[in-house]
Amino acid sequence: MDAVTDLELVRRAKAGEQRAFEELVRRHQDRVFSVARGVVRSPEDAADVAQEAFIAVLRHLDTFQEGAAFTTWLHRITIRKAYDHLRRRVPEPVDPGSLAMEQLEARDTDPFDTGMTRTALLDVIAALDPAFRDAVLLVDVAGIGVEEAAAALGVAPGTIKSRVFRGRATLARELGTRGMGAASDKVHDG
Amino acid sequence: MDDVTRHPDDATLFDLVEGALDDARAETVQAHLSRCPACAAFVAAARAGAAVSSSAVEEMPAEAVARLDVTVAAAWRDRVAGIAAAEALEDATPVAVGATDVIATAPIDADPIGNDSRPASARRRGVRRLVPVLAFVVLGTLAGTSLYLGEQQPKDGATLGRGEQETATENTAPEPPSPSAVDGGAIEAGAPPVADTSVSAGEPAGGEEYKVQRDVAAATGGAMSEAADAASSPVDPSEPPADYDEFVEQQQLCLVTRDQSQLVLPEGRIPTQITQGPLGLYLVCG
Repeated sequence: MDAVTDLELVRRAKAGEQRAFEELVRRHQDRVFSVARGVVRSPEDAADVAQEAFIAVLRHLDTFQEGAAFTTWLHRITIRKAYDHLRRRVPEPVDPGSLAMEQLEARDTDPFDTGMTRTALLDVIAALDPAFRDAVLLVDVAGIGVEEAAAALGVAPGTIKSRVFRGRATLARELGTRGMGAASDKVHDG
Repeated sequence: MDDVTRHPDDATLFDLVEGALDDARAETVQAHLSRCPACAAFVAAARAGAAVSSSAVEEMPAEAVARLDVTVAAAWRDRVAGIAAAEALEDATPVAVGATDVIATAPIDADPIGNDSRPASARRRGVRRLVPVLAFVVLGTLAGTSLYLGEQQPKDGATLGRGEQETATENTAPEPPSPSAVDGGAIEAGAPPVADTSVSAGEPAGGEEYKVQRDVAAATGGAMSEAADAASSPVDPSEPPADYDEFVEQQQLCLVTRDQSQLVLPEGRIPTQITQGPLGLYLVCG
């Protein structure tokens, strides 16, 4: 099943193959959850958003046009569902103090040597300027390309590049400011 | 050669970090960075951020995955049930023989039925829109209402002759008609041919070909019971109007046969009663 493209899975699902849709969900659920988490912050809310996004995809599966990329459509829906979720509630502000403590406690179990856990990293991303945050979430966390992210957010590709670039730089500076170790050391000459 | 003193824009620096610049352009940007500490620091920060952000994918918690699986399974069952119900409705309701021929030859603007490139679900929706209209007319026929599909001349003040009406009544058997068999006076019984109501409208030409079409799926389904309960008829069929379109508007008619091959529906109308008059079959709207 892993060798099958998203487009083929969509076709099969449209034709009535439940397993194909389940494979789509399995394949993308972590990134959808992470993108949602980057917007709504709470893991519980992110799980709700991810669920809403996949249900919306299923309900509108017949409208998906094969000329488009499935991931663009999926993450556009995810971002919108996440913002809908935000509008329904007031997000809790992130306490920098508690965040730093979580990172210190998690340092010993950091498999990626980033100086922090992935959970805390998403919290820092979530605290970015929304324009930068959404671009970073789509390009770096969801892993979709600049063109796809531009289509998903309804902006020009050059705008996405600028937002991702600045978002990444801001992220690194935030991590450095919080003393979060390895990220600020990963500097390569341009 | 590019000016190395100019600060590159963010998109260019992004492309540099991503390795997407051509060699000449990359060399120019690198030359600028070597003499501009601010841009160099900016690029260094962006590289560091890129190394971190790409690792920020978080696994969905197991309990959330379990909930998602259950919800998706339930939604899939709903999807399948919805599709099956729609297909069952299509199978259960009689469709006029020759209706497809009529649809195919009707002057529609959208893709002809034979070359429909819409998704299967959209095509099913198009057929489903036909079915309630056909069902409505079939029930009207079975209730004893005469269907009259002959050519009429309202300007001449012509009305249905008694012989034609009797002929019309005799032919109201619930058998689907062939549109080619309809003559000036006889009625083809059962569900008359209906144009695809999901396609765009043509322009009425002098009141003779009134081809405004609409989607009547939900409205007609609800109107079936309303038609049975309708207490009064606002239509006075005794005197044909001078202006056909004005007559339709005044009498709130929503379905009038002018042409033996088509039924037409003005926009936004819901049928509540079926009757006949000098212009043919009327479905009166509430």
